[in-house]
This record gives sequence, C-alpha cells and structure tokens, in this order.
Amino acid sequence: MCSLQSPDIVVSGYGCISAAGADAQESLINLVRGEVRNSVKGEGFFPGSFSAPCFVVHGKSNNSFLLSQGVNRTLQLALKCIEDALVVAGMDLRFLQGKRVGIAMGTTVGCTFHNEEYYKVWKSGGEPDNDKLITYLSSNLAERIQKILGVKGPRAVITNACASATDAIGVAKTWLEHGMCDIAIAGGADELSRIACHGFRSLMLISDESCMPFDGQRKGLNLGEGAGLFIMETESHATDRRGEIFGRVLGYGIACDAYHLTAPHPQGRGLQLAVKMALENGGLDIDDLAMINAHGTGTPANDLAEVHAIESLGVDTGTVPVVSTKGATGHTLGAAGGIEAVFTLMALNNKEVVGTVGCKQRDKAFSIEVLQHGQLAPLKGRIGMSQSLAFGGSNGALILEGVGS
Amino acid sequence: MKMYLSAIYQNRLEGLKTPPHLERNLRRADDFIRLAVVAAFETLQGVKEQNPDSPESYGLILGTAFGTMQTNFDVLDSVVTPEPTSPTLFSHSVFNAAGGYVASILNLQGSVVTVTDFSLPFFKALQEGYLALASGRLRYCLIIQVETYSQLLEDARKINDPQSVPWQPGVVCWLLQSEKGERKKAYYLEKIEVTDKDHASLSCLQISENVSINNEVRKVNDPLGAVMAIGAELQAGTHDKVVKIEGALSEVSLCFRMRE
Repeated sequence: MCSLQSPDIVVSGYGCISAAGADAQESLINLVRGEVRNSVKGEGFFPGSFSAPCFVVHGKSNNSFLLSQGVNRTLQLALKCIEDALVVAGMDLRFLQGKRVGIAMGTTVGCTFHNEEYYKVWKSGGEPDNDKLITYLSSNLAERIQKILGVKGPRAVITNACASATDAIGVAKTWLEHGMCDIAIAGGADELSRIACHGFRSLMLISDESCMPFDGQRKGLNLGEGAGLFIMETESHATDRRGEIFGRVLGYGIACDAYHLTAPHPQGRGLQLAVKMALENGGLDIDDLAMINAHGTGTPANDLAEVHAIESLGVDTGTVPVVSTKGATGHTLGAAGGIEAVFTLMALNNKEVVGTVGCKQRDKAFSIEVLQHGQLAPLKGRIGMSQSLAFGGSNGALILEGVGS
Repeated sequence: MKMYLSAIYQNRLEGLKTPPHLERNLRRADDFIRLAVVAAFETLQGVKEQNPDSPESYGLILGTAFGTMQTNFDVLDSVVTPEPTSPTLFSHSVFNAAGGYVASILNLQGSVVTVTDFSLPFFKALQEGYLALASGRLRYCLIIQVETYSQLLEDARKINDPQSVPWQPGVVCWLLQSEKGERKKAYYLEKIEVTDKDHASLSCLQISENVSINNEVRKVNDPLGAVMAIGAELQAGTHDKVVKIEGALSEVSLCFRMRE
C-alpha cells in the first residue's frame, strides 16, 4: 500500500439528515434519547395489505439555499446536508469555486428514472411530460451538485447499493491522496421509494414492526431516507486555510463476498477482508479500534454475518462497543454509509457511544457483545470503524479518528 | 505508475455468444448482467490461470450511463400495475447486480464498484480503476461499460432527436493490471485526464463525440461509440496511441505506450 507516503486526510465538515434529525446535532440528541421517529406506511408504499414502519425525513429537507428548480428529493436531501457541512467547515461558495472540488456521492434510488406518471403515460401510448425526463437526465447526483455549487474537479456517483456512501468516502480519500482535488465532498443520499419498498418486501427483508438490529426477536429492516457526508481535505490544506479539523479518515477497505447477489456470506468473508484492508490502509491493528458502527440492518442474515466477521477478526467486544444506528434512521440504502460515518465520528469526538436503538435483548446465539438500547459506553480510544454490506456482495469499511486526547 | 492493458473484449448484444458453461449461472439474468458476465469471462480467460494471485487481488469497476434501465421499468411496471414484484427482478434492477454476478461467477473478491455517469462512464471507471491499482487495492482490474437502454428511452430519443440512429446495446471490457505479465508486447496507460465541461440534460440523448486517435478524427453517436473505436485501434495496434475525446459534456485525454 502507498498509505505510508500519502497525506493525512481530514474531515473538516460534516452533515447528516434522516428521520433521526434534520441535522447532525439534532440526530445525536435523538439517538441518545433512543427516539424512534418512524411512521407506518401501508397501501401506496407496500403491496397488498402489508404495512411497515418507514423512516421519513420531515421538515427542513427543502430549505437549503442551494436548492434550485427541478431537483429530485434525493438531491434535496443531499443539498441540505452539503449546506450544513459547509457551515461546519467554514466554507462558502466563493471559496469552493476557487478550488478543485471532488464530488463523490453514493446513491441507489437517485440514479434511476422511476417517475411513475411519465411511465404510465408512455405505457398507455400517450406523450409524456418531457420536463420529467429532463429532471432525470439532470439529476446525476455528483454532476448536479457540481453544477449547483459551481465547482470543478473529479466526480463519481457510486452505485454500490447499500455500501455506496462508504465507498464514495473511500473514493474521495483516494482522490485526495493522489492530488486530484483540494477538497472533496463525499457521502451519500437516497429518498424513500415505492420501488424499494416493494422490492425489499418481495425479498421478505422488511419487518412490520420497528427494526431491532442484533436483537433476538429481530424480524428485518425498515426502510428510510436521508443523506450524510463529509467535507474532506488533506491535513496540510486544512491547516493552511486555518480550518478546524473534526477527524481523520485513516483507512478504507473494500472487498466482495463473491457469494450471492442479495445474501451476505454467512461468515462475513468479504467484510473481514474489507476490514483488514482498511486497517492495513491506515497502518493499524484491530486492537486500535475503540468502537464499531456495524451495518446492523436487523435482518437475521446480515446481523449474523457481521457477528461472525467481528468475532473472526478478534475484536474484544467487551471493551470495544458494537452498535447499529438503523433503529433510529431506518435503512437509508445509498445514504447509510454516509450517515453512519458522521455518527461514528461524533461518537469518537464525544468519547462515548450510544447503544443500538431497538436492540432490547441481544440475540443469545451471538458470540459477541452488542451495546443495547438505552446503554451508553465510554470509548477507550479515538479510533473507530463504520462498516457497510451491500447487495452484490460488496463490503466497505472506513476507519475514522476523532480529535482530542 | 504504469498500468498495463492486457486484454480487450467488446461486443454488441446481437453478436454476444454465451459460453455454454455460463448458461446455468445466467439463466435468470437480464441482458445487462449477461453482457457484463460474458465480457468479463472472455477478457479474463487464461489470465487467472497464468496469474494465480489471491482472489482479492482481482476486482472491477463498472461504468454505465443508464444502468439496468429496462429491468428498473419492469419492476416499476409491477408496482404501478399493481402485481407482485419479483424478488429476482428487483435484485437484478440494482445497478451493481452485474458487478456482483461477475464477482460471484469469476470469484473476484477484491474491490467491485459501479459508477454511474451520463458522460463517458467508461473513462470515469478507467480513472477509478487506475487509482485502485495505483493505491495497491488491486493488481488486476476489469474496466467494464454496459449499456442496454430501454424502449422508453429509445422513444424519448426519437422525440428529442428524430434524426438519430437507434443505440445498440453492448459491452466493453478491458483488463488493466499493475504488472506487465507474460505478453511480449503490451500497451500501458501512461496518462488519463477526464475533464467535465458542461452538464447533462437532453444533450446526453444527442451524443456527438469526436474521437481523435493519433490525430485521425472520427465521430461517434452512441454511449459506447468512443470506447469501442479506441478498443478496436488498440486491439490492432502496434504503436503508441494518443487519444482525445471531445464531447458536449466531457473531454478525455489518454496516452497508451507500447512496451516491447
């Protein structure tokens, strides 16, 4: 690996929006409270008589000064998040426009043309509204963000399903290490979609109750929407502009199960490999971790695969808390890795992590400890990991470092 | 760093022949997945046997403009009809399903990434593949572009660009590796620069790109046109190739050197 010669990559801004909160601080407050702000959706979202809780963003998603005409909801969520992150970073548009700014964003729903009205008119042989087509063609997440911010630099929309945002942050780290940009905006965004609701239901992965990651009674996941991202730069660039540093992206790993399209490898083979790569990339050992933010969707197979991987990696979960935040946000698909990277960094900076919302009684079959609902654990160090698993068998891991002693 | 281009495969859907022993793996696959798997298989044929590195040293970057669009509409159709959504159809509608299929069938356990861009997605993928090799994450990286479009898109194109010729579904796959390998002659990629200069709207349905290879210019009009033109030159080539692609949305500069 070339990480030994690579510059340190810092986080100088962050933002997230989900049902847990309209911004990062509100989300953290609600996480600590263990709030579950979902609402039951039935007909319209799910087929037949099925209904299930979904985590929908309310309120402030559409009041960003960056908003422009003809953007879809995924972009609205991303733009609100970017605005928050830029405020945290102390950057304005004029500053950005003088820099090479890379945009790496993950999404799943945001890259598809799923306008039902257009489709129905087309299917019936009518003449669909061209504006809807234009909106789709203008909604490549990274490209449109470049245009709205008025910036130039590398761009990538990562469509790696539920690991998309984790991989987007990894891609941005690589860009910065290779000098391709001065600043990177990286994370993910996804809106709640009827197609995802129907599709996940068809795979029998949705719980009809609030999700319970790692709980012995867990029945599946709840879908959600949101966005989460980092403003990243090299440490020297941040220092030169006297920007505040909130953390570092120390390592990134990605590996594929090469096993099944929708089910994780039972032993978390690819996840183990991704974690080892991320640790090697950061020049770290497993013992350096102080916490793990698991993917923790609440499906039986996902949680079990993660448990096996964490156990095989030799993590002492008695001293290294393992948590999932999806009980508070739902599974936000392409946004999940970004939101959870932000939560991980905030936990590392607060030196304590909140237990898994929805996990009342850890599955007794698990060989590892999981920090449960209502618990709060101090962290033994300032380095933590956020990990993501995805359809297609992809696994991503980010090693983050908080600031302070 | 030098990144060697050791194999190229490209084909249109109409000319695609699925090797018999892949048929069972692909019995439920849509065209998008089938194109990706067959191209990756043909590109890697013999390579893994000659280079028995660990499976995690092999990976892929798949770039696409429109992704699994027809399968997305098939799922949407079941939602609006409404009829039960097929779990297989839904899982195949996810953009990285093709990458997952390729990885699973060919046992690639390294980085498998799908990127989506309306403008020259192959070259966005090539750039990310170059970085995956340069950063040491991979030693062998397949760079793939698949496009299958949809009837809805074709109808929209006819309305917005009545004079245009229908786009043909197809695939391009290159194998990029960080070491030269056994071949006596091999191109290496000395430079790749991608510059985005405008933003997509209807213009990405009206592709007109100038591809210059050693100053000989040709015009292409579909999302796979530029990379297929370059691939054909590289397959037949014996000398260095300096390539420039000028499109309405992006420009790409490439330099391939022949290493004896």
